[in-house]
Amino acid sequence: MTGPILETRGLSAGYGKKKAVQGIDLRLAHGETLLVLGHNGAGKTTLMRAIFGLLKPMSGEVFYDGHAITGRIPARNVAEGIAFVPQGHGIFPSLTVRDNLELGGFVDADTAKKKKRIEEIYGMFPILRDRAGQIAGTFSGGQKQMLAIGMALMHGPRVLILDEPSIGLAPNLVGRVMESIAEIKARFDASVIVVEQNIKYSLPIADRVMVLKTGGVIYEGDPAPLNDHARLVELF
Amino acid sequence: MDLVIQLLLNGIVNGSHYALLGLGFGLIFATTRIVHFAFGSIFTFGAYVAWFVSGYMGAPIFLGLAAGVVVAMGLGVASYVGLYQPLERRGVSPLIPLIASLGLTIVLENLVGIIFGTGARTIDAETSIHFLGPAFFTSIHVWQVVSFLLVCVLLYLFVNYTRYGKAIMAMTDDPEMARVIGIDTARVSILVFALGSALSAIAALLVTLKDGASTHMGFTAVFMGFVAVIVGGVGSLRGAIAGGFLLGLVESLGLWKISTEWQSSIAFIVLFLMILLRPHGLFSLARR
Repeated sequence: MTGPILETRGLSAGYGKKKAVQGIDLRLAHGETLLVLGHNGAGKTTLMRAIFGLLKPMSGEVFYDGHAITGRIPARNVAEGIAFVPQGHGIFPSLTVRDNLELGGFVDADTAKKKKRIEEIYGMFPILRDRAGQIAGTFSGGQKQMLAIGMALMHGPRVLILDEPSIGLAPNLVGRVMESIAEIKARFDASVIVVEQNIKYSLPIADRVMVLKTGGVIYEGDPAPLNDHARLVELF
Repeated sequence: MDLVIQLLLNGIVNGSHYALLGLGFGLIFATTRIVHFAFGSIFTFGAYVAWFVSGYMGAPIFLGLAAGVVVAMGLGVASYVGLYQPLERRGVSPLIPLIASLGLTIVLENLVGIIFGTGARTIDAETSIHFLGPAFFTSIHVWQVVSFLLVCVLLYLFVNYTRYGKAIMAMTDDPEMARVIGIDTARVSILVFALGSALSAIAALLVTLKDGASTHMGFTAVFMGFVAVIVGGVGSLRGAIAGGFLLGLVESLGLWKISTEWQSSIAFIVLFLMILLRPHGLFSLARR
């Protein structure tokens, strides 16, 4: 268990012939929260999509628990314990909250396990229980984000990747979402990658930070130095 | 008044046929976003295979239906795996599969002519006539309505209560999110191509029993299925049913005041009006 649970070696990915990220080496240790920071266009989302299998990498490799998973379809990655919450609320807007949660556990055919998991998620986000029959598209931004996280937890992931969970949320809700990420780590024994632009709220939950700029890594290490405003200005 | 009752009855029968076509075409379109115009040629193939088994070889109708369904499903799956899926993997624009679909339509239609001949084909089946007041209907009309209702119930149960039915629901709502939650979207696409094609073959056999089969029958089928989906609202199976029925009733009741030579134009008028007045269709928000 000493090796990383998720690792990329020299990963490059992009769209068409244009590379959005180049030669990225990322390591996520067991039980760790890795915060990936960067401005718009830094390549954060592209990197996560390439790791998860939504985008075919141009070069480099992805390893999960020591096994190469480069370019593997998301269905297999989800089945083996990787969950991804895409940017902008990863939900099915036309379906009910309950349907969304059930679909979140699609890879798990065990209905009893699914029911138990839904109860656990209701315990974390009680509003989802209260509004189980509501059409998810009618939720507020914060509620949608809670549902999206709940869906990702439905199959008991070992690695959870959250792409800008704070985007479009009011500051008080950002705080609540970040708290829930810390709670997830404890409850589900998951390793987490949080992609963010909101440094203030996300830095306190990070064990380690990676900063991307124009497709490359410009900082990797302890979050503490980034509390220093001057250091941040220097990086960005 | 007698004429109106007869037209209403005809409208229900035609509506069942169009709704069945709308369900088949709409299931494929809503789930995969592929405008599968070759659905019409597969419909024709289903009709001719059913004719070959039941009309030419004299086997019972249900065997003709089974053969038509199996061949249609095979062609549907082959068209996805052999044509659309490779295009999807290349990430081409939606226009390319549409053009490919038109090409496939021509190929399949010609193949029907080469294999079965280009003449019209009929299946001799015992047909009884029934009366409802001043209006009449045949046993084939009854089968058209009953088959449609049966398909609706089975499809409803499948979509709402099975794992892969829910996967279809998810893909209809958001294909990328479906991949995110671990649905093997290629497998689900194969499934809907098989199901949609099976529905086309059922509709094809029934219309062959009623009117006979011709190599060009596929165009009307795919067009009516397409109009039913657009009128009902893309992505809604309930909408495809409503769209099909609306089309059948308007087309039939239109004859009350409009000359029969205009009947084939009624579908176009319904389509134009719908695009102008309610472009998202009748059930654009209700996905099921």
